[in-house]
Amino acid sequence: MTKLFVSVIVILSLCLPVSAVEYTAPSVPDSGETLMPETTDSFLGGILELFQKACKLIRPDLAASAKVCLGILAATILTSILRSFAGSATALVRATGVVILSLLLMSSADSMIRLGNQTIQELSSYGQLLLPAMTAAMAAQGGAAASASLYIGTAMFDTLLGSLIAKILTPMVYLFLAVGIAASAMEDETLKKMQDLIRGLVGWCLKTILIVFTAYMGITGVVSGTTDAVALKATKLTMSTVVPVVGGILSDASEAVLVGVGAMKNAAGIYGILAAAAIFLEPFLQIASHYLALKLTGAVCSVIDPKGMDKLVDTFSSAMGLILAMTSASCLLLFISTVCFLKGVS
Amino acid sequence: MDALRQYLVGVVAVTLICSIITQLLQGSGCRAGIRILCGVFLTLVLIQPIHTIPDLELQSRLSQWEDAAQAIAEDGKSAAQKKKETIIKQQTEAYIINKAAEANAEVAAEVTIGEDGIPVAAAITGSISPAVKQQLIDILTEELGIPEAGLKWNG
Repeated sequence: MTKLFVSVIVILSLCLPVSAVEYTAPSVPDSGETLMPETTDSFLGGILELFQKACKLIRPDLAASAKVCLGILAATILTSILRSFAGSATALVRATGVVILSLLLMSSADSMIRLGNQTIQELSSYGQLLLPAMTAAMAAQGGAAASASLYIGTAMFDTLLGSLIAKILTPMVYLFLAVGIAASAMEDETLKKMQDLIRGLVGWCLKTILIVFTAYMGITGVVSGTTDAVALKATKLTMSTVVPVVGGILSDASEAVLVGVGAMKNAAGIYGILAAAAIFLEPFLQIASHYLALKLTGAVCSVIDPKGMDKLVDTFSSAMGLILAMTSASCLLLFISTVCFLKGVS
Repeated sequence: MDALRQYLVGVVAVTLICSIITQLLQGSGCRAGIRILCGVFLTLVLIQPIHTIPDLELQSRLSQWEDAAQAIAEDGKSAAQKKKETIIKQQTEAYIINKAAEANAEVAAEVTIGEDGIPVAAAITGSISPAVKQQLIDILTEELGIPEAGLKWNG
């Protein structure tokens, strides 16, 4: 009986789970709580749930965008009618129409720009909390060098992108709008070219940062991953040189820790990606619906009043496109870095 | 960063001013000359401050990120090492208890783990015969690699 009792204890103690330290992703902030999937075990399931919730939430925003667009269409029709009776004062009527339309569009554009910036800040803050958990988990898996390099790269590019967006690119979007309004009012080619330059510059900055970031993460993963793989091999070699029984115990313990930490890292990574998507998706869809509504309105305006207000509407829709690109770039940066951490040590 | 922003605002402001001037001079004879002057002025504004664009202070922040990354990675590594040591300690103790049970002895074991995660000492508690003790000493030294000096017998 005693033997049986001892044997049971021995077997149970050998099967003890590994759970001294937890590598968990920080919980989703309030802004993403409404969209966050209830279970995050399955990535695909989580993404589908996210989209379903987001589609339900987006309906009021679509209605708000439609209202703004109806106002724009009404103003365009009115300007077009007035212009046909204006005679020599066509330029004045045009300028007045541009000012009225700009006022109509500006408040919604401003709120969308602010929403985009707020989302970028929230994504960055969440990334700053998620990053240490992923770094520690990857280091625990034996990828100390790779995790440190990935951490430095992500922190550096996140700061760079965040600073660029907050201090340069967002003011440039406002400048883009100002130049666009002036170009529409005065029908000036120089201003239109300047507008194209600003748009090109914003797009180029975002693309370049993402390309360089992706390249850095890829190269660092390979270079540092090799160093870690060599260190892991050396550790395994040391284990094989000790007494067989102890060697077996050491090997089992290492395997158990690796498997346990790997599972925790995966769960944290999937939760982190879903949380970032939950923070990002609602504002993204809001801005995107506004962008698409403006595009549609611009197309209708070009039919109603060719060479008239459609250029102005296009300017505002392009500004929304730039904000979408900035928000997406920020989210993509977080996704790429999390996936790099998830990939782990080869 | 501020300098870059000022530069961009300056470029746009100059473009706006040039456009307004050329619009005002519409129909005037000197419009072509003014346009050329505006073009030259805009070019000068565009190229003049490029060399003064400051760096983004990434270099100075790099050491901070490096330190933080090293600290986090070390934390992760040491946490994993602690976990590993806990498992090794549990398994080694269980192994000793099991071997004692096979020799019809009931003991409690407390194993000390060294820096490399290898057991270096053990305290065995329980009333055991000299023969079983010798049998356990052989197992502990040969199979677990614990030096005889590191063994402590209680009871």
